[in-house]
Amino acid sequence: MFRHLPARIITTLEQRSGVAVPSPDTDLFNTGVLDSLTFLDLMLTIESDYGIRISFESLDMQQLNSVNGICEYIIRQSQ
Amino acid sequence: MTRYLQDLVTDQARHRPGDIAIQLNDETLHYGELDSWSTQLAHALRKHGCREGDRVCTLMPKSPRAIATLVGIYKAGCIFVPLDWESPASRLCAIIANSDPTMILAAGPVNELLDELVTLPAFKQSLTLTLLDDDLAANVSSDIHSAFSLQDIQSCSIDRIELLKPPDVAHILFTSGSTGVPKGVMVTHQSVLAFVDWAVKYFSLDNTDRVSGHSPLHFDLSVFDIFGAFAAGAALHLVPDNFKMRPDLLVSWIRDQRLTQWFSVPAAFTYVAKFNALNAVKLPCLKRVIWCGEVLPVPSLVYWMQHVPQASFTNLYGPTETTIASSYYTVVECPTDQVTEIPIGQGCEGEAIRVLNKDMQPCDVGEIGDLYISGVGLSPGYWKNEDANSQAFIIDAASGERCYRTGDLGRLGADHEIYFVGRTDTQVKSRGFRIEIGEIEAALNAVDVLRESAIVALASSNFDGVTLCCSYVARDNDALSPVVLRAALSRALPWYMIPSRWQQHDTLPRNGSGKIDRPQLKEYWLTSKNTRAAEVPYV
Repeated sequence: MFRHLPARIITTLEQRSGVAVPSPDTDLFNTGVLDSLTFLDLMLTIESDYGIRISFESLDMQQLNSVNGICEYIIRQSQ
Repeated sequence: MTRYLQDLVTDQARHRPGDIAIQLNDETLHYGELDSWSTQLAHALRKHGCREGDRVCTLMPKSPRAIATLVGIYKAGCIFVPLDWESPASRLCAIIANSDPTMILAAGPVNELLDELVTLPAFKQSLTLTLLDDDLAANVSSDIHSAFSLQDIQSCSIDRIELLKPPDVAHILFTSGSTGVPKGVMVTHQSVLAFVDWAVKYFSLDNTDRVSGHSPLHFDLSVFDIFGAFAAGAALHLVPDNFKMRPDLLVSWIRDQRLTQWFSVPAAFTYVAKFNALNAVKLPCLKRVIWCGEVLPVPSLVYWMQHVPQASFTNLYGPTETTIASSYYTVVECPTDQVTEIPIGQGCEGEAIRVLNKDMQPCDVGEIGDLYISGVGLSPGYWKNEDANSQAFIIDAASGERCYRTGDLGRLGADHEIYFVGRTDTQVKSRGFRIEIGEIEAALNAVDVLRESAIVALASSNFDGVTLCCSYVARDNDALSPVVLRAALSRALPWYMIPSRWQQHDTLPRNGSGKIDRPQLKEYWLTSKNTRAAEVPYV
């Protein structure tokens, strides 16, 4: 049921921040696609768009470095 | 005898040649090597025509070699002009044209940037380029020739160069300009030494210290990192670039390097606090924590003070025009509520910071006025920019003293400390960088698919500084993706000046006099839920 989630996250980044994400596997951190400000902004948008609470205190940053990784996180939090 | 910044290195090399001066990952420079290599570079620069007072630009990421290069530029009697290697070629070209250097020294992954730079019509083709990097030399276009190589430097003498007439100015740092053209602030050897002498004394810096180097070389906080360390004989540990997004890795690195001093901008502190990165990592070696460039949100300060209880916490304040910082305040105790205001404090030794009213008279306690700074940190002015000089550097009629009008608003508290209140103009700070809204709008005006646009800066509640929001109208009113606009702006502005929110409008609101109604736009951004990606299904 989360089939469209990666496309949706990519569209959010494009529409909100003007950030182009080449693919859901792109490393968002090491390629300079996101900076700390746009990353935090994305996390807060996800909170309000998907009605989940992101626990910043226990985030595994390594896992959130791609759109696919972020989607997996959202799915886990929604279950 | 007059001291210069390069003398700090030579003095340390005499006393402790084998001690680490600068480290980044596995690249280390000891004081002895730093001194001898920078002297050899100075000889090479002189041999290739660089003379006292000439400007020499560097285009390279921060590294031990980059810092040794700036010391070499001083030893050759030249003025250091750091170019931000993450800025687009067009902006760098304007800075190069304004600073009119004798040579550009390049290293690191700047081959594409250099290739683009040399093809720009405004780039002076006769300018000497030197590639201090064999990989770079192998990867630039065949039209680019290096005046000399790393190997040539190693064959130069290590004898000190006696300068006949060393320049007062040490470096020119370019900051955002409201008309769209960056302004170059001249900073002198003596003003840096005055601050560093005060700081070494105040912070009790010595040769057992291991200090952070977080700010890039074109940002004046790096001047304190570098020369504070060199004055004390301390080791400067440069923060690896790949930690930018990873607060967990950053704090582990601070622990593993056993840093005794952490100096950065509030954004870095807040990012660590937001992700609770100090929960799992203790920093027992840290003796002092210092921030500058912006107001540090109180929750971030409280977080750091609770997690690093043994350290002192000092707020430094001051624009580039008055050299690194002009006032200081060391927090006495951890704030107990969120509304506590941390003052910018009182003038550092030899610096006067005053709150004056419109008649240039001192404000009463509690009254908001303009902040003026005078004293040993004062820059001689902007490089080749008389208009900006006459507006910003003025003579105070009452005292006859030259002073800098900061554009900041402040007030004197009942505790005799000065508090920062805001700005008188449209300059904003983001991640510590000074940004003139006018420079972003000038870049937007040059984007031909836009009919009109405006930038609104919103105070950011969950980070610090501001969120830059761009409202735009497409030229032919078709749908225009912000991806296109971000890409266009990235060719004109550095990354930290690119808006992080975008919204297309049919028209922009106007006020009674026909100008864009910015308060109304601000209200729109504050209330808008505009950014949801509704066109892609959720499930």
